[in-house]
Amino acid sequence: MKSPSNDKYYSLFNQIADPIFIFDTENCRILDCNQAVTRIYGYKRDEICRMTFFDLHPASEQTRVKKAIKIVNKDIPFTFTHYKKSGVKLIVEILSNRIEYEGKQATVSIVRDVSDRVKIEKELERRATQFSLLYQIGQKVSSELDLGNLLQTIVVNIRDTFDYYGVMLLSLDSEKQTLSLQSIAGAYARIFPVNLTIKVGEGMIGQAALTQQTQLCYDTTLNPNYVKKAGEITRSELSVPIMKGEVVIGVLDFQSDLVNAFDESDVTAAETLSSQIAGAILNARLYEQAQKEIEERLKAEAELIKSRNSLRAAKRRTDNILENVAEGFFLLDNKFRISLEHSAALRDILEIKEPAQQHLPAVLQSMSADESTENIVDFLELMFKPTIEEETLTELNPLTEINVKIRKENELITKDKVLSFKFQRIFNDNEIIGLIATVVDISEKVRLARKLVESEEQAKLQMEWFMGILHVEPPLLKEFIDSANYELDQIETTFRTDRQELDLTEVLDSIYRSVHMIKGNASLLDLKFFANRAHAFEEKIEEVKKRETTSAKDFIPLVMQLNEMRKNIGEITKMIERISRIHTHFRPKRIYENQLLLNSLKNLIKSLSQDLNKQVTFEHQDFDPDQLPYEYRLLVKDLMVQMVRNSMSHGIESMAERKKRKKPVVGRIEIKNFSENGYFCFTYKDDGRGLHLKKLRETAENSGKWDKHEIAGWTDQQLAELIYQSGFSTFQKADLTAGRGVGMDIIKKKISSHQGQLMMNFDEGKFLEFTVKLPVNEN
Amino acid sequence: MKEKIKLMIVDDSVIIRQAIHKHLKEFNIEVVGNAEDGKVALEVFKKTRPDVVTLDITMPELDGLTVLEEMLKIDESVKVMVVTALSDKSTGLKAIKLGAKSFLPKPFTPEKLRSSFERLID
Amino acid sequence: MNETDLHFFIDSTVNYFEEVTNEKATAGIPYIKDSEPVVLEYTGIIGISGKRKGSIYVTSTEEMLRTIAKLILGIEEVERGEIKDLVGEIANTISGNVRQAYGSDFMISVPVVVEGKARDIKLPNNIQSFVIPITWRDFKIFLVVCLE
Repeated sequence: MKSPSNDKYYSLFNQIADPIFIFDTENCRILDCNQAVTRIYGYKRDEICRMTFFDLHPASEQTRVKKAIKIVNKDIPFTFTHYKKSGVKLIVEILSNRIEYEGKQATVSIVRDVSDRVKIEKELERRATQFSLLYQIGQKVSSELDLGNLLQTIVVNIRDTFDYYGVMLLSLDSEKQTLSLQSIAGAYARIFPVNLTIKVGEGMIGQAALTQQTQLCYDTTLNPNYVKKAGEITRSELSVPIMKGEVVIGVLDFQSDLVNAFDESDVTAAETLSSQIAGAILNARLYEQAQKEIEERLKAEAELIKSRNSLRAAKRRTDNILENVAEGFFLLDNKFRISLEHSAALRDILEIKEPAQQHLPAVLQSMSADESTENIVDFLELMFKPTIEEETLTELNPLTEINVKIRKENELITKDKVLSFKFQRIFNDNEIIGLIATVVDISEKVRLARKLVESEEQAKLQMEWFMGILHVEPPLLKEFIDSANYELDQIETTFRTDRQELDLTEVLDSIYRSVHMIKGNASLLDLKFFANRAHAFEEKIEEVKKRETTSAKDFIPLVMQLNEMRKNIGEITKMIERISRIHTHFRPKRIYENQLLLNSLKNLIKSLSQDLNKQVTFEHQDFDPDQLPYEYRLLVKDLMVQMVRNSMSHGIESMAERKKRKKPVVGRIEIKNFSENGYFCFTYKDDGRGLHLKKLRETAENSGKWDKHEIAGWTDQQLAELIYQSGFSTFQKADLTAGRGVGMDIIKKKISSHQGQLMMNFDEGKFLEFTVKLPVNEN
Repeated sequence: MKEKIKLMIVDDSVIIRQAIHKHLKEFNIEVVGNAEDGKVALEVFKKTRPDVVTLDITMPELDGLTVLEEMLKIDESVKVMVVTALSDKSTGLKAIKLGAKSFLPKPFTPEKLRSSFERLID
Repeated sequence: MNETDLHFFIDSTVNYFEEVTNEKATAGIPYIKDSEPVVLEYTGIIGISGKRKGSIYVTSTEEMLRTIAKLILGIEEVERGEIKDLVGEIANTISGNVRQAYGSDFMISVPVVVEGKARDIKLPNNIQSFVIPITWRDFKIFLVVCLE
């Protein structure tokens, strides 16, 4: 062993920190070592001295060692691997030299443990690789927008670079709280199912997601959190959550088949990667989103174009309708304004150039609608109140038929129109958002309806007439018509006469007389309606007469009446003709006709008796109608009718009065005829009041036509003759039974015109008798 | 068995009151009150609180439109049918404005009365 | 009072009968009332106020009113009180309906019913009154209108 004389070198030998070996150059048996060896390698000295130098090296290096031994490397160390007794690997650098040791050729090797250095170097190299990977990924991330591709690329790159057993990327479904596999790289990719799902909190990956913290497991066998998912042979695992701000969106997971494969730098790199990935995912998602949005926008645009086109088409159709429809269509808003959209017809109906935006009630008011604005506004307001039933309101629509006066712009004349409006509510949900309105010009319809009513009334009248005249024999009717036409001709002639020649009052009187005649004849024949017509004519004449000053214009209504009468006569004529055809076999006999005269008078008396509630008999035994000259038949009829009327209405007293006066209750009218030289004469007598002289006197005084004293000096006869004065009936009322006091003057005039005579005989309170003499023509 | 509709009839004409009662018999009604003037109408209304009222306008004491307003103040859910000789639309609109639910002008046929009543109680 | 007014009254009356009895009524030619009373057994009178003042009355016989009341109520026996009531109601309805033509400034009063033929109904003598005879079935009913 060691010589004690080398003590100082020996203690120096042992104090050197680096392990030193001395071994036999030939057989490489270790001859000696220093304390550093035992300290570092763990072998005891005697153990080491039993070993060869080769024993320290792994099998793989043996050849190299043999070669190296032969070389003396004093300056440049060789790097080799040594194993400690414990089996721990050492990376060593060896320097060797030849020495002489106890008479043998020996090598002394100084070993320097560079394991750490190598580790660090390796580490640095790894980091460099990591950085370059990160850089690469960074590049890729910024350029790859397809998320699927990107993730796969990342994962593959990581695995390849670091040669991990496996790398996978999972995304988090926050709703379901599960992580699902997105991309995977490595040999173990085949082991895991494609739809691998891990619950949040489950295993390393789940924990990473749950805690939002990096999970590192050095040795899977020692970690309770480790969960084997498939047949993987993972020994160490690194799981990093991928964060978007505060939110986990996924997990990046590294697995190695070696224990303790990941250190701090790996964790840092992984976390950096994870945030890059987060960024990438976000970008890719944003890109996806943007793509989607663009797609959607394009779709929406296409939809818009489609609907715009169909809207346009719809609008064309609506415009077409609005242009061509005959009714006025428009909408009303809750301020009752007419809409911009309305039919062309509306402008025509209202004769307004621009009805849009105008206030409907105001428009109607400006047209002098015959409906109060208040009503119209009330109605429209109620139409907008949903609580009130539309049906109830429709019945109260004040505009179903209104008269308006339309004045075209810049014109003075107004046109009368009748318009009809209809309204309907428009709903949106439960709100009334407007009214749809239609207006129609019904002026024509109304006019026609009125015409129809008129013509219906005409028809009714005709029927009445027809019924009314059925009882009258055609010849009598013919007579009536002839006489009526004659009188109407007279009236017309009067009208045509140069008025300056005549006093207007005279004219009126003359017309009156003619009409009166017609009335009388009508009454006689019981043509009630006709008599009423004539009566109405008379009233009109009276009206005109009452006026202070009469002008020619006042005759206008009278002319109208004349025309009316003519028309009526014409219609009766037509009717007669129809009836005549039925009665063609019937030949009028004078005798028969004259009988008819008496019958007519009888009927008249009877009818007046009923109306006036008086009982009167008609004595005519001494009147021979055959004696009555044909040309006087109308005249005599006329006279007698008037006389009968006067008798019935104011001659003969009421039954009560007669009783009071101790007269027979039944009154009496008697006619007789006789002949005188060249005259046909008849008398007419009633047993009534006669004439009331006192009243006549009073009337004369009140009329103002004569001086009171003059009147006082008159004889009874003179007073009596007052009844021939026009306007001199002592009775005010005018009705069908009597006249207005012009009957007698007509009679007198007519008789005079035929060169006849009229005489009167009376006893006040007892009777009144007329005698008429008419000259007879020898022909 | 559905609940009967409580009806009150207000009109100063006994003939009209009887006619309305007769024509509406076919509906599930119970006549809880009659009145022939406005004052009595309000008193009866307060006492009997009918669901439906037929109401004339021209009446002694108090006219129908005033009665209508007062009734609605007491019970705004009451359904009032104004039945009146004042058949002009302006009166009708006024009645509806004041809160009547239906307007039936006189003279009315039994059919018109019935169909208005039917619409009212629906 | 003019022709148009007469038209309104005639239409109102004819319409009343048609609606209430479902039978037609015809109007005769109206005439100006003179001093002679136009009064039948029952008369319903309505006062008019507002823009146009005056009175309107409807006068009829007991038999006619009874017939109509029976038609309206669908019963065989009618009391006198109901007959009186009816003539008032007729006057009220006819007057109320005419309002459609005159607008809301035409106010009608509550009807007053008068019994008896003897009395004449007092009407203002400064205004002309018109008598409108109406025939329904065989009955005659008179509407007398006195309006400014």
